[in-house]
Amino acid sequence: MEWDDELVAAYADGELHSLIQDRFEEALQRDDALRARVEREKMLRARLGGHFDPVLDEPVPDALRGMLAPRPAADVVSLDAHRRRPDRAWVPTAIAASLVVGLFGGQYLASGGGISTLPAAGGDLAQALDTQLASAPATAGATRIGTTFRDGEGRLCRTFDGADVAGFACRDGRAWRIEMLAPGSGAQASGYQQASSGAMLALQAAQERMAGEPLGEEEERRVRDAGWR
Amino acid sequence: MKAFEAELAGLLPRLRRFGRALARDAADADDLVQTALERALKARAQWAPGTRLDSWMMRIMRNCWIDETRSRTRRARTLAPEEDGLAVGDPAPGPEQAAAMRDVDRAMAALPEQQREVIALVLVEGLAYREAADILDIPMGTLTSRLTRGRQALVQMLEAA
Repeated sequence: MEWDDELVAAYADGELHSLIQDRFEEALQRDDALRARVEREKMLRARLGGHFDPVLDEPVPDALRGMLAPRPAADVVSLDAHRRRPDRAWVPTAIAASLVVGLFGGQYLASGGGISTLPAAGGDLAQALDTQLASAPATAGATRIGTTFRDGEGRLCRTFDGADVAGFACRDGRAWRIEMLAPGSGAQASGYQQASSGAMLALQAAQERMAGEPLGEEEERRVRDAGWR
Repeated sequence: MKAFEAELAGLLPRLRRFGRALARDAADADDLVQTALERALKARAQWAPGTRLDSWMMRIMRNCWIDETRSRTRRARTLAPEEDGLAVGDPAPGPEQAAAMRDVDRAMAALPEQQREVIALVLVEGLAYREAADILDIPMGTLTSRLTRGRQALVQMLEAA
């Protein structure tokens, strides 16, 4: 039987169908020229490998690696600098707000530090995160919960939007860790609280962290009553 | 979705190798990886978690490369073959090794685009025929015939070199 180049190459690549492969291997036993052709294909692969595989061991240029380093999306304020600080209660919202506003002109805090020391939410924010359902009616000036979801690590996270700050926080043990902050909607006189641009940014950042769909109303109630597990 | 970036970062060495096989020098290859990463980060919502990120990325890279070669064709390249070996930034290899490197690069560069991308996916990246055919959106028969023609051309050029 004549073995065309395509079959010889497929054999060298381990891609020959098993039915044909048996016949091919029988032929290989008797046919020196066929063996040489297979060898030639394998040599070509080896030569290409010898040429291109060393790229795998080269250091990846910083320009490429930097594109994938954890960093906030444009206009989202990074809290990375806070991660170096020891655990402490949530910074007063007025300070947080001025920090956020100060940074919002395009300045970001330097990145670095570990996730374990992210600031924990405290006070009113912690209470809203702990107790309030996303479906709760909005009260002027009060923190409002946007959506509840799980991140890739299975942690429960919630977006929030208040007078001073918006953002999202994820459950870490018994605390809510602030993952992202942006300016809030500002104190509003009317009873109807419009979602701030900060809340939109928070939602956008949250979507990138979201694994699957946000929790529905019933599920949200259930996980709240179970202590956010 | 930090996992997305982490998984992409883990793929970088392979993407750079794939880029090197498609493009003719290291600088072009890294530019290609960068363009593809930008596109991937924008299109991340289109990647279905749980599916192969490497295949998805290689498809993006290959499409970026097609865009790039089209615009290059328009600019009509004038680089003389003698200048190929002058690529900066390469570690200085011995003369024989340098010749061999140029041979493979030159032979790859001389292949028609459609054969080079098949060779890059199957022989350099080690993908199965089926995976490569899926990335390129071509039937298996087309893949195997391009692969065979590409191989024959490479062997011929490398033996003649």
